[in-house]
Amino acid sequence: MTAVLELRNATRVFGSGHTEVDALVDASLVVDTGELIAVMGPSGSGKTTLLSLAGGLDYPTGGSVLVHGADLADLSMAELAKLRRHHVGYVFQQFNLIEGLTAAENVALPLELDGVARRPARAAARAALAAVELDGLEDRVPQDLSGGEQQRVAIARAIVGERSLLLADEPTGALDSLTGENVLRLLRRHCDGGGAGVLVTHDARFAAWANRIVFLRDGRIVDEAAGLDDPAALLPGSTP
Amino acid sequence: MSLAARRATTRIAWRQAKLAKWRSLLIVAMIGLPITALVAAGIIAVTITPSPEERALGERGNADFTIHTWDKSSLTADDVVALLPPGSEAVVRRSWYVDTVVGGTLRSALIADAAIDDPLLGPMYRLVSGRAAEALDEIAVSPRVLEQFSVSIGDRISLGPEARTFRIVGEVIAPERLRESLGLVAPGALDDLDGLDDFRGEMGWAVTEIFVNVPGVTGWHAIAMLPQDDRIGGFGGETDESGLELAITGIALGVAALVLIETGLVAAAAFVVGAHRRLRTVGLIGAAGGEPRHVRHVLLTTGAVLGLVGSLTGIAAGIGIAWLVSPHLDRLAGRITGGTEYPLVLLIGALLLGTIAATLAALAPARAASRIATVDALDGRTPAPRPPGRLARRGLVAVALGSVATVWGTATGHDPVLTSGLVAVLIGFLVTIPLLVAGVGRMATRLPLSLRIAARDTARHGRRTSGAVAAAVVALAVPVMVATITLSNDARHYAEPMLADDQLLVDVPDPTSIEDSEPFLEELESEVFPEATLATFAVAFFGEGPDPGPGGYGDEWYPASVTGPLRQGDDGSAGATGAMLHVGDADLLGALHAEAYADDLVAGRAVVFDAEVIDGEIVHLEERPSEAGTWPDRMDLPAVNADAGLFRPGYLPGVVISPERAAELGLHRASWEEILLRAAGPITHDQLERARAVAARYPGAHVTALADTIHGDNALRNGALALAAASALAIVGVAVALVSAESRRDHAILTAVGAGPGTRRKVVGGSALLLAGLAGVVAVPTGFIPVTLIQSATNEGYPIIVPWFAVAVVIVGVPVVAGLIAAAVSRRPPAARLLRPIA
Repeated sequence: MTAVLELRNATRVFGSGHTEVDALVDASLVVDTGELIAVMGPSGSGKTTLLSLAGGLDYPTGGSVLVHGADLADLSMAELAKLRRHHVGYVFQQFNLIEGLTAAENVALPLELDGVARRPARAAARAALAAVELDGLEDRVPQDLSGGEQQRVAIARAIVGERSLLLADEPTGALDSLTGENVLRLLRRHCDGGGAGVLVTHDARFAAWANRIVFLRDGRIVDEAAGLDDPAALLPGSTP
Repeated sequence: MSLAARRATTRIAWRQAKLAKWRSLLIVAMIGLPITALVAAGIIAVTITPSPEERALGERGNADFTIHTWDKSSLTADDVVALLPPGSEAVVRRSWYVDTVVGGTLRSALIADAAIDDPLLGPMYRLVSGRAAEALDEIAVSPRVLEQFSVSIGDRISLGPEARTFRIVGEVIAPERLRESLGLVAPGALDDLDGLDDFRGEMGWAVTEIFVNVPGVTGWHAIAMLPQDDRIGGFGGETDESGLELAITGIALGVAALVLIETGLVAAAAFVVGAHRRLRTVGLIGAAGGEPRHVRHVLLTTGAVLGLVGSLTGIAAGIGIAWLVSPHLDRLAGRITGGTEYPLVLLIGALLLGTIAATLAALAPARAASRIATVDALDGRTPAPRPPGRLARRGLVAVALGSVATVWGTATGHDPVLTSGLVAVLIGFLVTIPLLVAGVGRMATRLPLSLRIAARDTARHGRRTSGAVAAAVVALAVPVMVATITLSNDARHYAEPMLADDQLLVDVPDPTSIEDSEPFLEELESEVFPEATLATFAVAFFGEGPDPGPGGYGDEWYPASVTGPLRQGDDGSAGATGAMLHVGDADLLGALHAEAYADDLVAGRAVVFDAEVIDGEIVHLEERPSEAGTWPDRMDLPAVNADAGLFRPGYLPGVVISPERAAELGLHRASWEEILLRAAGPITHDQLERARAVAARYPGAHVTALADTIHGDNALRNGALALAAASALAIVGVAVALVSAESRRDHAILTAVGAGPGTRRKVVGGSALLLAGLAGVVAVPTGFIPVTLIQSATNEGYPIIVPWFAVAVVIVGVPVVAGLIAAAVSRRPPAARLLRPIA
């Protein structure tokens, strides 16, 4: 398996002097093709910082971050943006979508920003929406979509255009368990289909969907565990 | 940027502008309102202003030029016509300016002998009803004459003191001069007005003009075709007003640009708020792979789109207003406008101006938003603003350099330097605003709770606050400037009055016969000024033959004048001051506060009241020129300087000689005299009103006192102050609304922790008071200093008056009113807003 994402002793320090904060310290992590990695930890443990470094939204203070073997520190801001258009997709806890744009337009946005013409971009968007079981809702605006539907649109945008690395920051945080379950199924399907993903979550039931679970505390990776073979066993009413 | 990306970002801009409809509406209004005013005013101005062709038609019909002055002692009009190039068309027209008393009121009219169907003169007139005059006792008159003389077609009208009578046969107008009291008689009907050429007498004043059209040439080129003849002078032809039109256009565009800058500053504040409210969108664009230029494009496109909408709205509204006013344009212009014009250049220019203004207003917020890191934008964090100290220091340097440039540009007459200096001073003051805003936040700890919250809010939202404060500064600086200029001018007038405070100029109904006005003068003295001194004075003339009467002079009569020594002006040029020579006696000197010089007057010296006219102990009397066009000889007269600075000659004589001295010099005293009354003390307002009441009982009588010579600009000052205060209140209102929208959560927290409705009102009112107060504090030096510099550089020795009332209104009045209004109209948000996070 090839490493899609690799963190090598990545460190991120914010501020200086008496306001200095070690958000992430010496974090090393490899995410291979087909892998879904869950990142767990208490608030302020560095989960979001790790995700920001992984997607090139921020530069590490120390160490390195590689995506498909390319060191992100060697890339300019424009190249990092291109990386996100081609290889990295983000899903946040909420407010993922640009208000005023339809579901299809939100999904097609990375392609259009990359210069893909409207028609092929919309076609790709429709295909992505179909992959997340939202066909028929292409022309709905975010206000007319439920929370779960909005998250699925966000996932569709994160995977449109054959992007390989999916970074999800608490994607189920604002959803009920059943809807969250459906979101996790989509993430799992993406990884099983040749992609890779990093999932930040507080919920162990959803973390169990990952191949590996990484535990963060005070900015450091303190433990690692394997995910469950059958995470569906954690559904309500089932016995773990 | 690829076309697809451009489309995507434009789509985001347009959709988000529609979502934030109130903020978008505000920006559209900020752009649309000045565009409306510009377009409406522009359409009306273009419509009512005659084109050069229309002006020419109105002034001289189809003629290339007119001849209105020639040596009438040796040439008749027909002689002049005979001298014209072969093939020329010529029409002689006599115009009679006549005054007629109608029902106790003096009515003036212009009577011309012209045929309406004449090829040259015809376009100057238009028959409205009835017919043109054919017989010598017929006349067609304008509607104004019909109204003023209370006559109609078919009646007889009597004109002039000798009641020359005509029968009205038609109604006629001059399309380019609708307000004129006009009468058209048949050609030749005025030929018997002998002795009236170019002179004014009891019968009025007649002018003979020859309208000429030279074949094959037009305009002034036709005049060049005339044979050189010294007996012919005085031509009327096309005038080049392109310079004036360009100046008017420049001023109009300058005013429009200034207003758009004002509204642009407020619109910029709205764009900053919009960018902040859409921070999440900025982050999502970055997370989706967008680059800073994509973010910039979204915001700039928002500006351009709203600017375009605002401009189109403004243009439509402006056209609508012009259309509504169009039925009244003829009356407004005093000419037949021939339909409303909608100049394409104006409309396209307005569209570009508004769109560019809005786009520029979005530029700084766009650049700032594009610099925010995606991570920070996703978290709703904006970077800390740059410390304002460095910018403020640069601003103070700009003020200093700008002041130097202003003084230098004024002193040397270099307008570009002066303009640059003024702009630098203005911008310098404006860029100190962020420092003041930050200072407000720092001093908040000393304030009561509500004001403290308001001060912190103001400082925290400094980016959008500063723009609005800058706009309010520009608005409030204007009345400070206007007040400084007008008060200083008034002080200058009082420092050099045209009359002393105890003097009254008296105009009698018949200045050629003072005796006939005795009842008026006796009533004036007995009722109002029992201890006054009355004196008469008149202009001295070189002349022979009969007196031409008031206002008349010519080759036979020549007013005597004296000139002072050559003096060098500030610009290096040399010039001499002149004054008319007047004839008066010791009574006149008494009325002029110069009793001490009575002996000098009797001794034959000229008593001088303008120090620039006297050259040591002599004045130079210009004698009558021996030939036309030659410089006159000069005679030195002994003189004495009586200039005590009590009045500036103009209404009153500058140089006085006695009647005996005038006779020695061969001068005549004009038959029309003026009367000067000197009261026992300063003339009170009550005395002046009573004097006016006496004059009203004698038609043609009039009195003029010092107060009548000083045209106070109170209306202008107060008008500018009211307009500026209203503008500043509106700007501050918008700024407070924007800040309040951003502080919703804070206010919801206040409510949730138990603050009463009064607290929020005080916070909102405090914000308005602080914003307006900041603007006022900066506006005062911004308005006062440049004017002071310019006036000091041009008017040495004249007082600079501090406009205390305007300063008080700007610094105290407007802020207090702003605070009260804001507090009164603010509403308490429901606490449930606390539960809804800001997107």
